[in-house]
Amino acid sequence: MQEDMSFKNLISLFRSMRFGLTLLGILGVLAVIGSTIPQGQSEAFYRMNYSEGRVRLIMALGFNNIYTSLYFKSLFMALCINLTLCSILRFKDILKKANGLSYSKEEEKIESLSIKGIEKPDAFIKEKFNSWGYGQIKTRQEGQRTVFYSKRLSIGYFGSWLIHLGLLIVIIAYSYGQYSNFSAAVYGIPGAVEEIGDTGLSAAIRDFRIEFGAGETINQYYTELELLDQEGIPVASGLLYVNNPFRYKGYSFYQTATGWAAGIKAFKGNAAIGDQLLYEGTTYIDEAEGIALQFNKLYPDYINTSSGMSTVSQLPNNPKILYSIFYQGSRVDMNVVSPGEIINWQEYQFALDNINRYTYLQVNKMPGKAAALSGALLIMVGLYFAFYLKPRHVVAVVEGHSLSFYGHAAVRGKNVFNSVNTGLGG
Amino acid sequence: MMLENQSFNFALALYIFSLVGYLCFFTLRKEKYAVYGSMLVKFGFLFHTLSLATRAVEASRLPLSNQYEFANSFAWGIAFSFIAFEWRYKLKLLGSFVLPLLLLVAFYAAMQSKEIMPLMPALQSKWIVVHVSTAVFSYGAFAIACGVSIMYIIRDRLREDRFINKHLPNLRVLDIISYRAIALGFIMLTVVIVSGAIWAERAWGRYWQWDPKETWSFITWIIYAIYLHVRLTKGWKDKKAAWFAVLGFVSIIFTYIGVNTLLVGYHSYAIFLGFRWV
Ligand code: HEM
Repeated sequence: MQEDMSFKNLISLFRSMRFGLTLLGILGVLAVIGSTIPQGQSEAFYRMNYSEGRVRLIMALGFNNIYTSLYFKSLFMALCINLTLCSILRFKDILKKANGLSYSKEEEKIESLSIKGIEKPDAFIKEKFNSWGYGQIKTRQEGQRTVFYSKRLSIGYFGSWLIHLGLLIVIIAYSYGQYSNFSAAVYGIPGAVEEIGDTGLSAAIRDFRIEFGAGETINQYYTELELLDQEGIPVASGLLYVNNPFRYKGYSFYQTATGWAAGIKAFKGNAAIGDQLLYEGTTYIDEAEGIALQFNKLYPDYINTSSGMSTVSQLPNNPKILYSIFYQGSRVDMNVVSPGEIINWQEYQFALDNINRYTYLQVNKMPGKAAALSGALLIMVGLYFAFYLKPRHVVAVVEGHSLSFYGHAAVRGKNVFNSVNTGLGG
Repeated sequence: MMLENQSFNFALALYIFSLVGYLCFFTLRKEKYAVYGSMLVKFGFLFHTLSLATRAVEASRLPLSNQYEFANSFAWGIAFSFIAFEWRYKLKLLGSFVLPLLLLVAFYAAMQSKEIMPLMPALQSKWIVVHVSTAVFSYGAFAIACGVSIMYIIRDRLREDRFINKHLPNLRVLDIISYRAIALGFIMLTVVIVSGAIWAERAWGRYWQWDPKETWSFITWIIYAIYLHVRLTKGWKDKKAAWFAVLGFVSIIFTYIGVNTLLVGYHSYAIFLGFRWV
């Protein structure tokens, strides 16, 4: 018995609105903290930017990764339990409210009259109801009283229920998506064929174009993509650009970035020792020789100004490559060269040529998107119901010779607000 | 450019005079000043609309895509909501409380660079149009709710003041007006968040990744959700709900101004680069 009581208490705590709102409040406070402390950085980063004490606090409380922390997830989980309990337990009451009738004589009285002179009270009531914009009339007997009533917008009672259900769906769909998210990247210059993680698919980059707008600003980046299966047979193809991902069987391909790539040729003496494609920011490494060349940056329209190296535009009018050479692990040379120009370092020669823009595509598969979207739609529909479909009714009570009307009669064109409008000044 | 700037400055001046009118009404307690205030704000709104329309024509798109344009539209949204609510509910004193908020945002706009820049690839989306234009109206409605809630708090404090009692509606009415404004703002804020998520999914592949701007819209949403529930619960006083409405607007302002200036995230990338580079 004792246990039964405490279980009931627990349920009523978990289902209560106050508990739900407290959870929301805590989530809000944590979100504030998470937005002020940069997330997902290394400990060294925090050491650079915060005092010793604060770093310890951040690390101890996991404030460096709040949104993926166990307590943040647990709070959402508790919110889900709260919303589920509350939605289940409230549903019967809502149905009852929507189907039944409850009115208060004190608050809602419209008028009272005597039915002595009225020939057909039923018709009179019907006419009155109709004039207020109410159609279907129901009756019921309450002891000596006959009650006529008509209701409108009862569906509004379901508004808050739909909102909470929608919210629940969004949280669950989002969590599921985070949990089973697949993410990979493919990049390359036109002609490249790259495997996409372990999906068994390959991405063939057929073309990559940049569209320039006024003043050489970049208007759009386009990649023509073809997907190949394990046998190399095309299964889908299409054009993708920023804000227009290419989708295939749940996988979405996003135009995420671009950069330059160049072919690198390496020689020792007069013998070729290497030939490959090198992306901006990456390094050609010859382990056997202990030598490496890093392609630091490409300036498409090079200019040397007093404040350093820069580019006049994004067009390859005067391309220069900034490179570094490493030997046995230390940097031994750094300079800019034109494409094709020979770089000499001791007995080694390098040439960077055939510069090309490469396209960088992010590949994602995040299940639950459609569910999250339907949850969001439910929330919006629910909000509309809750705010703009306020349920209304009119009631006529016949008792002996008296006829009284109750409810929200001041309907057509007016609204509830006008009945409390009297307090307005001026 | 000339026409746009001049009409904006004109609008700003008219708003200031309008606020002076409303404040005179509040302090000298003569009704005619409120009439002047109301007239001036409407003229201000006309010039403001002209300024935005000129820019839209010059840029061949809606003026919704950088700090200046959005601040300007945001101020326009507040002016629009103010005129609508003043007209609908005949609240003469509302101007003294909402115009300072309007001017705050308009001055912030005036401080921003007005240069017309071409749209970055990431910003070329119909979802961002939905996203930002609903934000304008949502924030406008919340500004009204904030003003009305401050009136509520004052009315609650100065129950005995005769002028206040004559010109401020009773608490129940103020509460209903603030609720109406928040209901409207809240639905639109939800549309703002959902359309933003759809846009983010199309542009970056993640519909929600807790970047500071997203996070602050979530925080704002929570504050107003708490407001809506506090109003429903009998045990809690309405005054608390009024404070939540004020807090909500502070959060709106922070989401808009604070996040851009104090915190970093993808949205600022979106403004400056429009494109993430590896
Ligand atoms: C951010 C999350 C939430 C949002 C956006 C939300 C939204 C709403 C809205 C708009 C209403 C109707 C208010 C009105 O008609 O004025 C409502 C009512 C209600 N909410 Fe929530 N809610 C949220 C979370 C919660 C939680 C966690 C609980 C906890 C159980 C809860 C319990 C209730 C209850 C009991 C009602 C009253 C329903 C009624 O009287 O018809 N809500 N909610």
